[in-house]
Amino acid sequence: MALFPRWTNTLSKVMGAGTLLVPALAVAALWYTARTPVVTNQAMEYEQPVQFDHRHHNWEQGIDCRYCHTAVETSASAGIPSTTVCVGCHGQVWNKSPRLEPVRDAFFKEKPIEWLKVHDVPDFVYFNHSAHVNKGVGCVSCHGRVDQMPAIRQVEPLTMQWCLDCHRDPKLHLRPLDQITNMTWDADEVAKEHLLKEKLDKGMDHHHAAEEVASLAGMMEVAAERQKMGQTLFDQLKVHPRTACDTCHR
Amino acid sequence: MNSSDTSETNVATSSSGFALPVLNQPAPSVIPSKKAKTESPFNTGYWMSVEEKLALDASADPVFGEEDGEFPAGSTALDAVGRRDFAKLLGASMALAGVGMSCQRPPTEVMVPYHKNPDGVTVGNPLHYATALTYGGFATSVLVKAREGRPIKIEGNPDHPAVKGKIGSLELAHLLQMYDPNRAKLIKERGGRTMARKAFADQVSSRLAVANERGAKVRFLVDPSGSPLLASLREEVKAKLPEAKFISYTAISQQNRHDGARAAFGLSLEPAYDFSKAKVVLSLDENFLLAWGPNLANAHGWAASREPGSHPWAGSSKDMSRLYVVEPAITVTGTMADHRLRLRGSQIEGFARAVAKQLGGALGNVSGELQLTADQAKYVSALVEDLKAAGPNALVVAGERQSAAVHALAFAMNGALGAIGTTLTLIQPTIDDTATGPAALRALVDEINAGQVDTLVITAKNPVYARYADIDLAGAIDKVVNSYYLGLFEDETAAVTRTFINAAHALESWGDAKAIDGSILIQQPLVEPLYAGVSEAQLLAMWAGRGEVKGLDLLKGLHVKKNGIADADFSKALQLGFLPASNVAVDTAVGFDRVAGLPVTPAVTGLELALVRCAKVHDGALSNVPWLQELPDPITKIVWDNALMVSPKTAKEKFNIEMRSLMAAPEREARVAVVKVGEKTLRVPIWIAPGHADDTVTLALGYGRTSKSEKVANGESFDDAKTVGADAYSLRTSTAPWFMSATVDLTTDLQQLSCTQEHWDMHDRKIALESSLEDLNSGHVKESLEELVAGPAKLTTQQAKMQVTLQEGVDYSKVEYKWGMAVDLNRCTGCSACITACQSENNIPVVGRDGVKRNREMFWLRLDRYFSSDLNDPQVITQMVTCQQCETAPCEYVCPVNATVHSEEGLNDMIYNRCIGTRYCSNNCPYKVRRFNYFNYTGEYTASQKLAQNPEVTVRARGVMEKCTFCVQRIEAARIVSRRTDTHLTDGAVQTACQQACPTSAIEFGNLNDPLSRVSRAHENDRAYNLLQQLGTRPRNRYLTRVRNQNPKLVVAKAAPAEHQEAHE
Repeated sequence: MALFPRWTNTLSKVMGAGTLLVPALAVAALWYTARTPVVTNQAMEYEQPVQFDHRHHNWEQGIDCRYCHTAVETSASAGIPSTTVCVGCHGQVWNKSPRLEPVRDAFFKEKPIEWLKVHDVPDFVYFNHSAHVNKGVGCVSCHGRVDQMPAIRQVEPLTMQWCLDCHRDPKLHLRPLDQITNMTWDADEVAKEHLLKEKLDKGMDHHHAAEEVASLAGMMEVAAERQKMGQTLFDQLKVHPRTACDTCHR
Repeated sequence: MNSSDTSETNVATSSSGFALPVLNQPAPSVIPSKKAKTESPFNTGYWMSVEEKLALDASADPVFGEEDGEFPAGSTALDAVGRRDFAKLLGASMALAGVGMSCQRPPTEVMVPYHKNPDGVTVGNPLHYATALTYGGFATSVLVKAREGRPIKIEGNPDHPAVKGKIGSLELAHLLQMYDPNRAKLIKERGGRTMARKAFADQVSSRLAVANERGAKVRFLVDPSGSPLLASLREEVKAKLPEAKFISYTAISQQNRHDGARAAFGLSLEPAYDFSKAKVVLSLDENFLLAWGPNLANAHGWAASREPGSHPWAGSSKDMSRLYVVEPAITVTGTMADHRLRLRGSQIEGFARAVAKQLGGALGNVSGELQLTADQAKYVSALVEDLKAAGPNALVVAGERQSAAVHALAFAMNGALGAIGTTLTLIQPTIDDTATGPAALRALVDEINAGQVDTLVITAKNPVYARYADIDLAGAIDKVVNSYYLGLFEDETAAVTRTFINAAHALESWGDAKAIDGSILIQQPLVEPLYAGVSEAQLLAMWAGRGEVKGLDLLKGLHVKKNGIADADFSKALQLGFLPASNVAVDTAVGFDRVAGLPVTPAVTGLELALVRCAKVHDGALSNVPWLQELPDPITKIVWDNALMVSPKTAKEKFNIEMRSLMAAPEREARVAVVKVGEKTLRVPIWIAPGHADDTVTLALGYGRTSKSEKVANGESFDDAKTVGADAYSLRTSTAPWFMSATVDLTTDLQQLSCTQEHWDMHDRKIALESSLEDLNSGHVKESLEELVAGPAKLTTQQAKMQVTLQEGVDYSKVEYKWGMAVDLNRCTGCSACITACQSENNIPVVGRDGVKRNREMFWLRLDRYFSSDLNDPQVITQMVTCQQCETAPCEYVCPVNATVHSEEGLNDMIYNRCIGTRYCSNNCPYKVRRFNYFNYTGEYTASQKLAQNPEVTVRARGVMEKCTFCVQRIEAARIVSRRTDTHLTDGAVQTACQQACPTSAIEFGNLNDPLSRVSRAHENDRAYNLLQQLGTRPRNRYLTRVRNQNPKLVVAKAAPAEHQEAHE
């Protein structure tokens, strides 16, 4: 008669495994949680003091981002437009709209509008807009299709991993400087156009050329073309992505 | 060091390869070479404190033995938590931290845009505005950096010729003063009734009407000023109130200087020095290197004359100026002296007379000279010979504490030497009213006591505190029916006046000032007054019957409307900071007979008490700024207190303090003494100060504040209800404002003083090198330094490789920028401006007296002060030590979380958000430059204090390591602009905060991959060396050795005992 019944063997094994597994799982769970959209802010919805609709201003009216975010090319901050910028137009148009009541109120009381910060990196991160938009990184790359957003939300995770992915190899994320604020510029489409034009120039008819571009081999060519475009921009714009800690942490 | 010999052999022959010395064992001072041909050119036998010196002399075991540990007590140990408790806490906090940090969504922040974007403001980019700060009648032109309309840093104005972009701690501290949460916010009447500004203006105009009718006597007690605006407003007030009088007053008056000039030249004049032309300088108790406004030009010029090289006077040979300093207590100027003579303050007049007499000629009939001892006589004759040889390139300067006779003698000596016109020019006084001393104040008090004054308006800075004990101003103010006080704080003066008016800070108001070079500085506000304060100009305008006037209107009214300066020129002046104008040198001759006939001021008999301007808080007006309070005194390294300084000899003979007892005391507890002057007594801790003159004691002004509202100055903020220092003003009389006869009685009480003297000690490693000019010129210094660098090469290849670096070195010669720094010890005076500049730029918190006592000061750079040679008459060398940015940094490979790693340019980055506070890095840093953030120092900042933080630098929370970053935020800001504009950063495009402030330009910073940059050239200098070269850390900082240019006639054979030199041989 053993001192311990047989089932305790299993128990001890389970407990042993548990001792190792539980902390490992806990760490893994924390690791995973920290990267979920809930924690990175992507799932968050914001109710701003004014129902400002980027769809209307940017998509429908075609107002360039820089009309309001004036500092984006010269400063770390893109700049939130002052109330006078809003009133510059809305003194003329929609100046009776009830939706704009908070703007008019702020304007006449000379009180600033307090917007909620959606894209908010930690205080120890020193992101600089001007360093990006002058080197071929477009607004859409980090902010997503703002022109399709009734209210601004965060599309990308803005984690350090995400930043570094691009900083280590930014070529596929670059665009010509004249397309920086373009929400719909698509490097793939441009690469396809390049290829198509090349094939047409070689005397191929349009139907065949388009077919070839769309084929599997064509997709490989498009990918290669994108790389080439990226490299050209990388060299032209003298892009110098840094990954040293002091790039962002000071 | 006997013991270091063995460790050296260990290092040299060790096959283990690790060259780092075993901790707690003294490290090798230099790489040993088997047969040094000659004696090392470098000074040896350094000690940091009296205790250490005693241990050295006794050849005892090293003071810092096993039990002492590497770190000073409290800097690493956790208080009152046992190991087990700690482990429990650690486990729990780790678990909680994990959960708390990863599962919590950060709180949503708000963005507040402008209502209307101000012109020229780009959100996120700083703007610089030129303005002026006035202190004690001296105005300094500064640039203030502002972000989104809030000032964040004060810098010197690089365009102003008397400032050249340099700055002192005092000016830097004005920023924090503006944001001080203790500032007064309201206009108050006695009894606490507050008054709206409009009501106050109305009250003034009604009083004015009454005063006009009755012909009442209104008196204004004001700061000395050369401001054209204030001068014109005073005229307006006098036109309105013919009986009104203005009395200029400041506690540290320069009146003796002006009176001395009157005696020498028959005119009240001011000296303007050009130290850059001086070959031989004699300072009679003049601390002309103390870094603040009027001295910036002096420090700059003097540093230029100290550069070993060719100077106009030297022809082609390598030469430098020589500095003689005669003073009672060591000052920063004294530390830089080639020959320093310790002398009681009141004897300096006699000394000056002796020098003048020996100079002979027109000064031959000067009498009343000091009875010189043999040593002093030798000193004087060598000095006089040197002065005569220098002729027009000699310069004699006299200090503010000295009598008018000393100033007159100094002027006369300069005249006799032909120095007037070269090193000295005479100019009209910068301030309008030179009678700033006690006489005018006494007259005012007498007048009040006679009932002749019914209204007193005080705009001088806290005259009830900064006082003469024999002039009862507080009592007199009480007798005045209407008394007004314009101040930033409800201080000692506010307590006795009827109406208190909260003043606008200099950074909040319009005004102007006259700089020492004669230019008119424009003072422009950086922000709207935080608490709707009134400026001095606005207050005077009210008394001139103009009611409420905007500051800018007042200023433009004078300069544009009245003086006819075009609007465009005024705008240009605003941009530049000043209306260019220079002093006209007054052509005048010395009346030698008048000077010779000046009455002799009798020297103090018995024990002499000397009061002195505090090197940190000056007269005390800025003593509520914690930056200044926590700044270690340049010499004693005491923080948050003043102490009665006494020479070791006097301490033993007069007070019977047994030196040996100091060694036994583990805690720095100072004996409290009672100083008695006449009937007045003061309790103050006693501090043994090597280099202090005998039979005299020194106490700094500016402490012992009792103001209820100033919670830093009165000790409440950082040390519950303990006063900060002792009030030296209580002993000060108008008849003997600086030097007085006193008795000192020791009590048995002890008082702990916080002192950074031995914190972060380098344990006998020789890191500050100094040599003589001869050794430099003979190439001996170069050889010895080369030997130091080449040392490892003499080992076998294997050993050398191991010795040179611990990690594999990275080749940084191909990167665009290889940032490096050079510190010239020959220029570094220890003035401490760099510390405050760094603190302001990098958001460094203050930790309070108790924190410093536990060695928890947070300064990213420290100034080591070493004494050498004699205990009673030591030589001093100061060395600025900050992160050396080692290329193969010992801190990096011990960090378990990669919180400190290299950038691709080789900078040693510190990443706070990764740091978990193991402090291994600090443990492994051979330079001891890393600081641990123990408490939530920054967490309790008030809203206004938060505004003072630099938004470009992370405000660190508790639990992280911090260190110098080479101002990486400035590098990155410049780099981003250069990348954007596709340009290369040129030399000087990036300046570190310390470099920018340094009044003597001792610090160079720049790109080492640019062979023409100033820092590259400094690194190639014959005097350049690395700290602890033998460790193979490849530091990016290099130091340039100090050079002493001693008069061969006064050189004493090296007195250090033989065993202290062995380490070098």
